[in-house]
Amino acid sequence: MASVVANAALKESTAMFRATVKADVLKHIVEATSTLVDEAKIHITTDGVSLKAVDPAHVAMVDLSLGAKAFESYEAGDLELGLDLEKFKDVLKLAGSADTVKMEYHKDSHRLVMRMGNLVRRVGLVDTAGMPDPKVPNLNLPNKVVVSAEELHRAIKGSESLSDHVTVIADPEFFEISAESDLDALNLRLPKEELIELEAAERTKSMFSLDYLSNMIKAVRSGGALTMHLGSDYPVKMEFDLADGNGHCVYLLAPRIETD
Amino acid sequence: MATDVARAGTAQEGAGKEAVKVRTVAFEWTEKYRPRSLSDLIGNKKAVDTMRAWAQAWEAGVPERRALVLEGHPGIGKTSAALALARDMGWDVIELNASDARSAPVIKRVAGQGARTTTFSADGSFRPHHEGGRTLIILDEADNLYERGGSAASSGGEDLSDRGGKREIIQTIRDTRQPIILIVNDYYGLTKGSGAAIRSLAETVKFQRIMARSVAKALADICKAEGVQAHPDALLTIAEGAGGDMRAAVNDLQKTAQGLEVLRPEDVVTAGSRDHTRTVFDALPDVFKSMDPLVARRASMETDESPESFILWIDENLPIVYKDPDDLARGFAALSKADVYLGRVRRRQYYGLWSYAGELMTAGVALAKKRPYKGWSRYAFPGWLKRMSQSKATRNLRDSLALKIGGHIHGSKREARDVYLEPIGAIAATDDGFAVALAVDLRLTADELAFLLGTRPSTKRVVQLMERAAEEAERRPKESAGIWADDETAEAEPDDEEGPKPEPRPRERKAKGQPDKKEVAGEDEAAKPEPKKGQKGLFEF
Repeated sequence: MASVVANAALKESTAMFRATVKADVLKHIVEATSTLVDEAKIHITTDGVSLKAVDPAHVAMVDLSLGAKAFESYEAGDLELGLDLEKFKDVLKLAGSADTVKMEYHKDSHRLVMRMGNLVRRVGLVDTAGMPDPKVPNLNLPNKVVVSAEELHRAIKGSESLSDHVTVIADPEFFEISAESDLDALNLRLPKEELIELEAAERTKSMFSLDYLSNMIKAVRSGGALTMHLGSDYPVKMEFDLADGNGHCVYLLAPRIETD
Repeated sequence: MATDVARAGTAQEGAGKEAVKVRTVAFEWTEKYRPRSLSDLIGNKKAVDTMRAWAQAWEAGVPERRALVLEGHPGIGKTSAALALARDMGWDVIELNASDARSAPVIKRVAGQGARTTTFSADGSFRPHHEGGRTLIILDEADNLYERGGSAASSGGEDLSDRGGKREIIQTIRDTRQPIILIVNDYYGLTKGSGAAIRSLAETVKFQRIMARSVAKALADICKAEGVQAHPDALLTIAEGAGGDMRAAVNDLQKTAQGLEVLRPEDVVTAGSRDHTRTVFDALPDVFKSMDPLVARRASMETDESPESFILWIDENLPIVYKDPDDLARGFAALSKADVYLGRVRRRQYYGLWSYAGELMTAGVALAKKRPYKGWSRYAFPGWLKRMSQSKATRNLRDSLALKIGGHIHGSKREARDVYLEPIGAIAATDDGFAVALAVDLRLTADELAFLLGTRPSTKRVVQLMERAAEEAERRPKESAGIWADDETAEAEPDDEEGPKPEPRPRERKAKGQPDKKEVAGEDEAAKPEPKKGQKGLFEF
């Protein structure tokens, strides 16, 4: 407790944040994060902003960063802001995708002031003291697949009416997603030549909850490519770029336990 | 030094692993000295052994009973035991405790997902399920998971939150591939109604209150670690004052001993013993056996009973204890005065009068005897409550019938019940045509018709009459039924007989004199108010 206070005092001198950014970029970040958590702790440094979060069931993690280049203007010191994501989402609805948003942190009122055109919205911040700082595990995942989000999206959407989970297989020759119910089955098999990239030395197989996977893949947005790192009965690590390559998002999703 | 004693309570009861670290820094002894391993737990050896065996079974695979229910009083180590077990086994923990919103969707999202998926642990490591990675799912205070507030919006109207919540727990236990622990104070609260399946799905582990000596020993260890020289008597006094509640004892110790170098017995006195809620069986002897008005008065204050239910207990047991007719007469005289006040509380909705009722029924009754009665008495459960509980279905039937008749004759429900019910029943019993017309016009159910005729709904006569009524209703033009279409809304109104709170017309009441009294006395021999709504759970009628 005492050390937190001391840290806050140290940071006080540099605790500032003033930036202008496309509303669309903010919307994308909130979309990608709010599928897992309701509140998030944003780390702000001179180089950019980042956040790490784990969902309440400890099943999925997000590790997201946005470089200063993703902003039209960026001025910041070291700072931590707690955001209520649902509220932030609503605030962003006030702006069109092409609009720019000016953000400034007001230390005295502990609010984030957002200007969208002539509209000013002051956003109260959440106390970050109770929020966990998840450590992202280092995983040894042998296979790598790069695939277009659109293909995946179709397979996931089709699977949702069959089951609450899918089986994901990476093979030296192909990549496959399948789901089945008592009567029906769905299967998407993409041969190596139809994938953007496939590096698989061995065949791996894991099962994942659709609730999570579906929202994560939605966050890639159509037209984007998704990199998946896979193992057998191991978490999947999914990466994609944000803000024209100036930002990066990593998801980790733990596997379902195979029913024997 | 700012001690955070005030924060002790339910909030800290379910502290996760990460939270434990933070709170240790916050100087709360209950967190600082929370047992890290099951072997450090004070007392409840049998419960601990059961938990260990269950955990071992999980190491081998998925056991038949996938969940444990830890049952017992607050503060005796249930949550500590669950967290310590996870630590001993090297399991990750996900927790849903009272501070989280725990409606059915939340249980599904967190516990349901965690139960079928491997998870990332807080220290940033990952262990696959087949290599023994397990996540313990802890549902703390599972007997009051389902407060209506949280999910009212999502369940839209009907109270689905309760059943939904229990159903979700049951589904989660059925599906789980991970160990689950439910923690409850009240096992019955969890397993009644739709929770019945939990009884067979989960193994129950009972936690007992901890012996004062064991508590005192644990307190001594804490004092040693804190550098306080403690007198054994001082510790024993604290331990006894806590009544088997380890957390209460540690909190009391911290309040008294923190900052002291030496803890002497006289330091403890100021802390006082905790205000235990006592059962009605503890309170009754204070009223009946004592001559001291203060002792008797304290009796009612320390129970959870409202004066309205406490008076029933005294009424039932007064003749059992008071053998001298003069004592008995004076006792009932005091009690009847108390009842007058209770009646005024109901009519005027002024709860300040409760205190007069309370004094009369306790101190008044205690002073009614000439000399104290000695020895032990077997106290009886209020017979009035028993009878009301048994006759509840019949009374409801009678009231719904009276409501329908009242609507038809443009009179009140009470008027219909007291004046018209019997003659109408007598006519219907001899005149089938009248009975059928009645059933059609008032849309009677078979139960109601049977009640009116004084038979059972399964009798041939009722069945036939209902069939004829159904045919008759078919033949009639639609609008004639429409007149009574608002019957449903009328039924939904709170029944004024059920309790004092939903009393909407105090003025009208007064004008009529004392209808309350008359009414209650008229239907059962004794003039007793029914207990408050909130009290209902106690008697379950």
